[in-house]
Order: sequence, then C-alpha cells, then structure tokens
Amino acid sequence: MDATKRQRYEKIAEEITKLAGGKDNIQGIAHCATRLRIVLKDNDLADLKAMEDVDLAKGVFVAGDQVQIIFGAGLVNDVYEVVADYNNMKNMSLSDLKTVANQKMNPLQRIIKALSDVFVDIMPGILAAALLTGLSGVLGNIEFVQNNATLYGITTLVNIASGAIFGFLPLAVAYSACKRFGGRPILGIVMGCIMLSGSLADAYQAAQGLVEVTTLHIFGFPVELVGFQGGIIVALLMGYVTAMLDKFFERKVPEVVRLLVSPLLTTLVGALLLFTVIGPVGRGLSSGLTNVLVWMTQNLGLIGYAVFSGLQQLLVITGLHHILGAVEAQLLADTGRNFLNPLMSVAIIAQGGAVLGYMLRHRDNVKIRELSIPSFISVLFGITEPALFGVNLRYRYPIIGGCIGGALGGVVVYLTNLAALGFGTTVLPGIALADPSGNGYVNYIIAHAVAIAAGFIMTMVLGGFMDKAPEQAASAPAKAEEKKDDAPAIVPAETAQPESFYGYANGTILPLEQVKDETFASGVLGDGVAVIPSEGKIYAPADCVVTNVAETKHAIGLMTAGGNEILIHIGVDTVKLGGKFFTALVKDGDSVRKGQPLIAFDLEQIKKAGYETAIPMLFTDAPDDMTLSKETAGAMSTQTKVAEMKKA
Amino acid sequence: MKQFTYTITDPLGIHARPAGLLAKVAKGFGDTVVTVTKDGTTVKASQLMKLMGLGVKQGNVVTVAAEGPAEEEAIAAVEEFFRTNL
Repeated sequence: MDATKRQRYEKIAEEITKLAGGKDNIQGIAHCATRLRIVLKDNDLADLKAMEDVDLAKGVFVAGDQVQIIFGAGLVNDVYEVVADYNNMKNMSLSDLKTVANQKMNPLQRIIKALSDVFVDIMPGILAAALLTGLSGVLGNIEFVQNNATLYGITTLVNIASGAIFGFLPLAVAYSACKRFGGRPILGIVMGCIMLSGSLADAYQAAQGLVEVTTLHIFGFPVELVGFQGGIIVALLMGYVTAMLDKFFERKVPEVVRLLVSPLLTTLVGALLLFTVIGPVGRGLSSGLTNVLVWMTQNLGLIGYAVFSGLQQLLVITGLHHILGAVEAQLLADTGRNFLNPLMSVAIIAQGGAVLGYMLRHRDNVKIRELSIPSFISVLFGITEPALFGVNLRYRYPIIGGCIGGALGGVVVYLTNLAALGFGTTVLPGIALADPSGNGYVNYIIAHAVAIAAGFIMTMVLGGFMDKAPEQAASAPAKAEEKKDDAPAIVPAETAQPESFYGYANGTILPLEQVKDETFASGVLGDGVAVIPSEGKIYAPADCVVTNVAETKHAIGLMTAGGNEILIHIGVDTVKLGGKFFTALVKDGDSVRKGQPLIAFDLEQIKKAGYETAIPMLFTDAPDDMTLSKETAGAMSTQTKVAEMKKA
Repeated sequence: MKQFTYTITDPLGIHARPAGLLAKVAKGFGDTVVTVTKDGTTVKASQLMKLMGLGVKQGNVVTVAAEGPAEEEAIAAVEEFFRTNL
C-alpha cells in the first residue's frame, strides 16, 4: 500500500468511524472476503445512509449485530488494516467479532433481539398488509359495497393484496432470518418457497381435513407432504439453519466448484432437514401449545379464559394463531357460540393499549411515534404483528403489559359470557360478530375497554421500573456537554509571550544538534529540544490548541496559550510509515491542557521498522526578540520543565 | 503578482519537514507574501502549520504565488525549492 492510497483509506477510516457513531460506539472490527464488518454498541447511532456515500464503499447493510460495508475483494483487506489501526482494534477474527457482539446480551435477550431484527426487516410488508386487511374487513361487511359491482371488485382486489403477504409470511420470515444470521438472502427465499410449494397440501386445508395428505416413507420414517402456511417458528428455524449451512458450505467447498455446489448442498440439506426434523418438531410445538390453551378454556373456567387471552398473543409471535381458525369453526359447528373470538379480540386490543402506553412514555421520540401510531391503528382492525414486533416485543416490557391487559379482558369475557356468532374478524369490525343476547354489544365494548386500559396502565407502570436504560442514555450526552463547558477553550495570545514548556514525553533529553536528521539538527526549522522516548506517547508541553495533526500522525503542530508555535515530530523519516503505528488522541482545533496525551505510537514497532525514535520539539515561529533557554541532558517527564521562552 | 503551478512528485507530499523548509524559504523576502493554493484553499507559505494543514500529497497540483516588492526573487527561489524538494 503506498502513501497516497494509505491516505485515501485513512480518510475513509475517519469517515466510517464518525458515521458509525464514533470510536466509543465501535466494539469490534473484522473483515471477510469483500466486507468490512463492525460491531457497534448501538446500531441506531450509525448513519448507514451516509456510509453508502463513503469513498470506495459499494454498499452498506446490517446483518445481525454487525454493520457490514462492502468494499470488494482485496480492497477490503487494505481498508480494514487502516480502519482497524485508526480504532486500535487490530487482529480480530470474525469469531472474535461475534463474541464481542454476543457479549452484549444474555441468551434470552439475544433471541428476542434476533426475533425482533427478523421482523423489523419485513415490517413494511406486514404493516401494509395489516392495514389493507382491516380495510377489506370493513368493506366486506357493508352490504352496499357487496352489491355494487365496481366496489365489490375493488374490495376483492384489496382482499387479495392484503392476504397475500400473510399467506407467504413464512417465505418472508425465512428470507429475513437467513439474512439476519449471515446467510445469503436468496437461499432463505428458496427455503421459504419450498415450505410453501404448490406440490404440498395447504396446511390450513389439511388441518380442517379438506385435502388428502400424501405420506412418503424415507428409511421407514413417515414424511407428510404438508406445506408450512403460518409456520413462523419453522420458518425462523429454517432461516437460521439455511444461513448456517450456507456459511458452512461457502467455507468448505473448494473455490473452483463453489458457486455450483455450495448453494446446491445448502438447499438440499436444508430441505431434507425441513421435512424430516424441523418441520415435524415445529408443527408438534404448534398443535401442542394450541391444544393446551383451548383445553384450558373448556375446563378451567375463569382461569382458563384469563390464561388463554393472556397468552394468545404469544401464539401470534410464533404464527401458530392461524390454527385457531379451525378450532373456531369447530366450536361454531358444535355449539353455535364462538367464545374464542372475543377472547382473542381483547388480547389484541390490550396489545394496542400497551403500544399507546409505551408511546406516551416516549412521546418525545419521533421514531417511536412513527412506529406506534400505525401499529395501533392496525390493532384496531385485529392485526397485531406490527404492534408486537415493532414495539411491544422489541422493548420487552410492553408485551408483558399487553398480556396482563389481555388476561383481565378475558376475565370480563368470562363474567359476561360473551361469544361471537362467526369468526375471522376482531376488535372494531369484530363487534358485528358479537352475540347480541344478554347485552352482548355493550359487554363487548366493556371487555375491550377494560383490556385496552389495563394494557395501557400496566405498560406505564412496568415502564416505570424497566425503562431506566433509555433515560440514562438520554442524560449521558447532556453530561458530556456540561464537561465541555467547564473546560473553556484556550485562546492563544496574538504575539509570542514568555512561557515555560514541560516534558512532552517520558525519556531522556537529547540536544537538538544530536538528532540524526540534518533538517532538525541544524535548527533550520527553529530552535528546540529533543528526547529519546521510553514509552510510546507524547503529551502537551503547555496549555495549547492543536493546529495541525499530520495526516500520517507522526507530527503535530500546536499553538500554545502564550502564542508560541510548536512542532513535535515523532522519530526521523517516520512520515514514510504512512500513519502505521501512530494513533492521534486529539484532533485539529482541540484545546488541550499541559500534560494531556496527544499521540500514541508503538515505540517497539517503529524501532523494529528501522526508524530513529528521537522526538524533536521545535519552536517554528519564534520572534527575533525572544530566546529559548533549554535543558540539554537528563530525564524528561511531564513534570520536568524542559524549555523556557524569554524576552531577549 | 508572479505565480506558477506545480504537480507534486515527492511520494510523501508536503509533510512536516519540507513544509518547515518551505516556510523558511518563503519568510526570506520581507514584505513579499508567498502563498500556496490547493483545491481553492490558499495559505501563506511562511505559516508552517497552515502549510501542513493543506495536506498536499503526491500528484496534487498546487498554485504558488508571490506578491510584493521582491516577488521576482521570491517566486524564483520558491520554484527552485519545489523542483528540488517536492
């Protein structure tokens, strides 16, 4: 890497570091074949959009806890070296990086974070579909609309548009999960397509016994050819597995045949695992959970109702709630009264209450408002995915508040003996389904009011205990600003004043004449002192302003409070290192106090690279009417006075 | 005013040492002011820190100008310095 390139990369390093939220926000840096990977403390502090405009960067995206910047093969190695140097984080492997990323959270937090990341990525699609579903639900219930050919046509199209993403949600989830866990997204899509392949029986129809299911026998084990519609858990697992397989085969398959063989193996092994292990396990979980909940409502009375409506939204997270439609149909067929519908409806509205509670606690945060309002609206139409994944689950405690609200709503449903006469819609449009007998409509409204209020209040209360972290984060920058205030900027004198200068390094003083560089030794750049350093750091010799840190960081220009211009030059000819082994601890324009560290450098490495390490400090603009008295021998530390500028 | 443009050939550009030497040269002409311009930023060649701050690298094109009573001598000396050192 020559110096020109090096400088270009340094600029890139500086920009990336700034856009990543500063050095403090960077926890680790590594690179793969084409991408620079950075683990951040808080991804929200990074400006990903602006990063795309960084010189030579070809793209930026977030995968997991890593911000990944595409530079391309070869180039990335050089850029990495400079960026890592710049941030003092060399020699991290990809697995180190993952460890750093994972250390941030405990396992449960990691799972929730991963789940939330997966859904945040596909949220725009879900949100659009959710609101359209609400719209088509309302339109579908208006008789006038149904009787007008044009309006009916439009409603039907809205219905198709809204239903599609939910029908293919496993595909979207497999895609997003595969991407989240570091696999190539297209392989996640392929896996999603397999799950929903037209050659498989539709899961909903199969659940209701409407279609024949073919069973294959592989090594004696039965494999049912049923699709995974609504199989969110399976899709999540498959996304993860696909990503792992992809990464594994990309590593192991020889490069010559990699493009041909690696995706093939990933898809083949993934599909086999899907049908033999992951699919059956996921499905077992689904029906097990659902059956337990339904059994409770039928046998445990009030407690059963409360538990069902309290936990029903957790089924939504896993995607298992779609199965409940079959149960509702069965209930209606058997008894004519569907009590699950109002239970689900109160569970849903309670999550809406939780969203409102969270939003109120963070009413100053525009991002949260933007997310919360449409989420709440879609809740009104019975769709909770945006609220759950966008807000409640993501910030953890609102989901608890919402579940408690749902449970209380369930109690009211039990006490008022509420039921529905149909199924398919809930909350606002759902009122049309309520059984009017025994003040059904009024009770429906009361149950929902209790649920939303309880969800709202519980979230507010829980937030009081569990919401400390964001508040602390908010107060931290304020503190930083205060600090700046009590350290007023240094204003150098207009003309050079008499001033004392202290040791700018720890080591042994050397007369300037003995520095092995003609330019410095001759004093042509100005009179001064020199030091043979014993440690890799230089300090401010007096209160001063940093006028110029050389791009190669081997030299620094200072303007002292007394108006004296100083150049400190670390080593001889070290400009040729192009910044390697040097780290600037201050930047141009900084006010620094006497004794404050300015530049750190790797003394041993510089010696090893064959450079003289003597550090001259020169007064480059001393007026003719001033003279410099200076020490020429002895030890130097930040406590020893090494030079004094006096009137001649 | 006298001026010339110059493409830096030194692989290390105008770093601390040549900047110091150039500042020395530029200071030697009394009231005559020598300036260096790169990408629209102009600094006095006599000011070492400003000169370093320009960050002139190999391949950069700079415009050097001298203005004042001794501008002929100044521009000649500075041009000589650039050709020899940069």
